[in-house]
Amino acid sequence: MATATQDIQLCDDGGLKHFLTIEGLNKQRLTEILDTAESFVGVNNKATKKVPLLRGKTVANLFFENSTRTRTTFELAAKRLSADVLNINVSVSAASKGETLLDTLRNLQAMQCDMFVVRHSASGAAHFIASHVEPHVSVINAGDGQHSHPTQAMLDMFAIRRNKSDFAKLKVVIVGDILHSRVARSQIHALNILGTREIVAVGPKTLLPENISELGVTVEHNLEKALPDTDVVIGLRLQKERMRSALLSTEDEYFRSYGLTEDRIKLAKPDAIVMHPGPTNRGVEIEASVADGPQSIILEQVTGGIATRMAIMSIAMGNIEKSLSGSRTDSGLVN
Amino acid sequence: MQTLINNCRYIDAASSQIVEGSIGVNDGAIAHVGKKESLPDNYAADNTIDAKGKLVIPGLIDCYARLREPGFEKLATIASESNAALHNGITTIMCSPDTAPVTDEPAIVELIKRRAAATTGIRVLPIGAATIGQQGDQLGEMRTLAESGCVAFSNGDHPITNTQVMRRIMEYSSGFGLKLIIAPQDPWLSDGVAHEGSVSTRLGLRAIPAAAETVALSQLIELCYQTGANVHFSRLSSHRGVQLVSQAKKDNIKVTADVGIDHLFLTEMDTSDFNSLCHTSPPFRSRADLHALREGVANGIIDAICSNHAPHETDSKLTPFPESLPGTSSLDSFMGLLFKLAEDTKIPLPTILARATSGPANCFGLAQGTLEQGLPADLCLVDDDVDWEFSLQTMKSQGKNSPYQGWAFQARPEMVFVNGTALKLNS
Repeated sequence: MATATQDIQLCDDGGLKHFLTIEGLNKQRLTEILDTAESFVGVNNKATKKVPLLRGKTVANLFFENSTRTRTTFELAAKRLSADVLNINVSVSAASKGETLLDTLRNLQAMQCDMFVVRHSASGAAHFIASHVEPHVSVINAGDGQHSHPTQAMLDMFAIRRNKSDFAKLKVVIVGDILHSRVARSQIHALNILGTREIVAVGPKTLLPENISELGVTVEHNLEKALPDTDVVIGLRLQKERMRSALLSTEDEYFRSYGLTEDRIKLAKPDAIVMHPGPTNRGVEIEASVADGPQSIILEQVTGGIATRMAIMSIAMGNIEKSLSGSRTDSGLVN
Repeated sequence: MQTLINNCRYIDAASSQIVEGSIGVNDGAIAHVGKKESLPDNYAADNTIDAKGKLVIPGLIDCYARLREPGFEKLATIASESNAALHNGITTIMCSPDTAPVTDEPAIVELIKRRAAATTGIRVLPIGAATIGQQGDQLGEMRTLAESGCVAFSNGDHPITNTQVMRRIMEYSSGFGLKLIIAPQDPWLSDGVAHEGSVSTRLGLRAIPAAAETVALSQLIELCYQTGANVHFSRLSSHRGVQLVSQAKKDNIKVTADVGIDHLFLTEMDTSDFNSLCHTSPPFRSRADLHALREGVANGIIDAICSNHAPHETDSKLTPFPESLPGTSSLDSFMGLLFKLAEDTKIPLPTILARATSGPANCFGLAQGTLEQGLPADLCLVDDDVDWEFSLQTMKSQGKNSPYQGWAFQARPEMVFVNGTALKLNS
């Protein structure tokens, strides 16, 4: 199998240079991210919430697709690392004027940005960008089409690890629109790499892609059957805006079959946690009393998101600095 | 004018074996194939070529390529693309009606023929539009276009969604004994960018199931049965597709089929790093599909191998995979891949070459394609023992969208003849 996908995000010494996908990373890499995130939690709780790790660096948030939550947490994470942040909502600027993605990229590069945080509606967009940037630029995938959303998966792992100790003992149920979900794909890779005992993908056949079991999950269409003995229940957003065809009947029928209700959550272990990448559609994929209930860690996911993204940004930038330090002093140029 | 190619190898038509001998050309036609000693007494060559043991094959026939002219000269021209074809031993190329204006009236056919005549000298045979403007409703002027020189009819890259229109096209064309070329693709199931399978699931790419092909094929085969139409199914991609064509042939339905040459070498795995150069239509499918297609080439269920040539501007592929335009610029690798197929598989070289010579010639009633006395002397002298590496830099096609950068090939043409005249090759 071609491994270019996996290699492109690593430096020669194996350190993360870009963060494009979880696939192909090892347990040590993921654990490093989680440990670093843990160390940033303290920073976020202090009165002065800044560390100087990215001082003098410019981070461009390149969002070709709308997002509030992800963009905001990336912005906060970059600012708390003391970086200058540029927010570019490309869907309403260059792209609508007919500029190609590559042109937009080259222009930003000419402005000496050091890191691109990219969200794009096309699967593979982050890989494309990473394969065309100059060597001093790091690319962080903030969601590409239906492919990958690796920082979301890492913040989910962070939240799971804080609530449950050992992945090897866990049974995780992911329920919902897995076909269109980049979050689910990334979660599945991360959970497998961290050694999760069992991962079950639950949804109607129309929302589970072909050969999904090859990613290392068991497939179940009946949520009640999947839930017993479960430690972590992850609901996915029903992405109505992505639906291209007749994938579902009504929202009601969906809720009746796959909604995370109090009654259903009782089928899982008593100390099971409930997660959701947000934004939630209450009454469609999750019952309000579950989203706000004692087992829900949905808000904790968001909080942990800042520390996790700080960790990923500082690790990637640090590795690029390290790998370029030689060539930079030679040329005397600071890009 | 008499030309004698001495000391060559060629494929003996009767035994399908590669044998040694001479080939004589007289007045644009093949005058002799066999031992030099058996040349007619009155044969006095004006020009004798020592082939030094190299292989003489009938000029290759590519039955489906997009040349982009008229209308899309920014992407490619008849001159640039027929030059790429010539340098791959192709002496006859059939060009799709996806032009602007569409090849739906004799003036366009004339224009293509005139441009072609002014370039390399290979035969450029236009495929006419099956419906006016490729709009999929009003029947094209198929009879008039055939008189102007169209060898077959197709709606090109615009699938006809209305089955009643399709039926009428079949009836109308069959009444005049004309041949249709149809790429079977159900338009609704084809709304995607990659084969539905492990790779599309992993990469989150909108997927096209193999059923997109087989659902359309099943419908079309039934309509062929109903109407008695002469249909050539073009660019098969799935193992079930090959089975359906096989069954139709057993049922004596008049169908023929081809496969795009890239589908004999590349699979979904080649898209696994988001390589937009491997974004094609139909998509590269599974390993099992590739094997079934090769099997179809071996046993003749697949009559022809076409280039499915689709030259694009570089920018069209310099985008994320789902946003890139589908297709490869495949003429420059055509001969290299045909010979590589013989290297990589157990399919004998004569069989493979037949699929790019006599195969398409039989599908479309062309006189060329075999080394037979009296036929037009469209020939190619091939050096099949030369190691060369494919490079985008040396491509002759204006479209550089080839996935074969760095591939090793062993065959390239040394001389190419059309109607007995040697065409000029760049060294």
